[in-house]
Amino acid sequence: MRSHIGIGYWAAGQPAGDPWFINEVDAHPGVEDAWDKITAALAAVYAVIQTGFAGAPALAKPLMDIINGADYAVERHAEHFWGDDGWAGNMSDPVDAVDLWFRAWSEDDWNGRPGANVQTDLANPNFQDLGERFSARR
Amino acid sequence: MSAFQRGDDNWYEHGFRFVLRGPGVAPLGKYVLGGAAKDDGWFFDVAVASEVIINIVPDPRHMAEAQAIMATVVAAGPPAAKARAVQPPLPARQRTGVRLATLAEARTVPFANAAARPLVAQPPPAAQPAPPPSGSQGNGS
Repeated sequence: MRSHIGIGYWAAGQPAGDPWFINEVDAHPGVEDAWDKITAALAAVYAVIQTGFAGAPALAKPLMDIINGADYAVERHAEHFWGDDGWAGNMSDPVDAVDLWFRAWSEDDWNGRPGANVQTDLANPNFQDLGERFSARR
Repeated sequence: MSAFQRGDDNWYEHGFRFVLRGPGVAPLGKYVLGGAAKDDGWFFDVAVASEVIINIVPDPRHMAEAQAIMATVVAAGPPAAKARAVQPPLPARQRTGVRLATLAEARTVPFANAAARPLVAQPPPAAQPAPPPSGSQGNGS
């Protein structure tokens, strides 16, 4: 099982710069994080957009439901900043948009349905869901 | 949703776009993108959870330019009496050749001209308002 979050920029309707990747994971039996660490990390990440820690487990539930029951599990998280006028720290010129793709791939079939989502506590969030693709169970 | 296989691997991908300029711009704030997947191995099931906190913030380059403008405005020499009247005493750590201008001072300088202008040190300390007593503010570091 491998996974990453790919980041790509757009400027003037064209891809800008090279895509780059964060949270890269190459998870195999024997390469894992402890479940309590994963639970705490998921809760902590979601807590940043909530007023308190109490609601974090519920927000993390969609992800936990997917990975729950695995023999081995790995968690990665990161934080990035983009300027509201197109500033991206690793780009020399402003960009119009940034795409983020959660990807996972495995030589084995999927157990359950992979998933990804964006959450925020903003009253009027505005982002585009570019859709998802995943392989059918063989 | 469509079948998505590359070689012998099963794939999953889900994307989101945040517009930083133009129509449909994403409001300032925090977003969290999270994804998870679990496979069905012959002996073991392996899972991954991945999250990234996305912060859409006021453009920090403008902050840098604003700092440059402010320093340039002060270096250009606003009336000393006016500067003395509107400026509180500077902390010890800021008592250098250049100080930050107020926002009102910064607004008096054309943006493009200021950005192209080199920073110039302020006149000698003799022309500055009297500093506060030593050790009264800041730690001097």
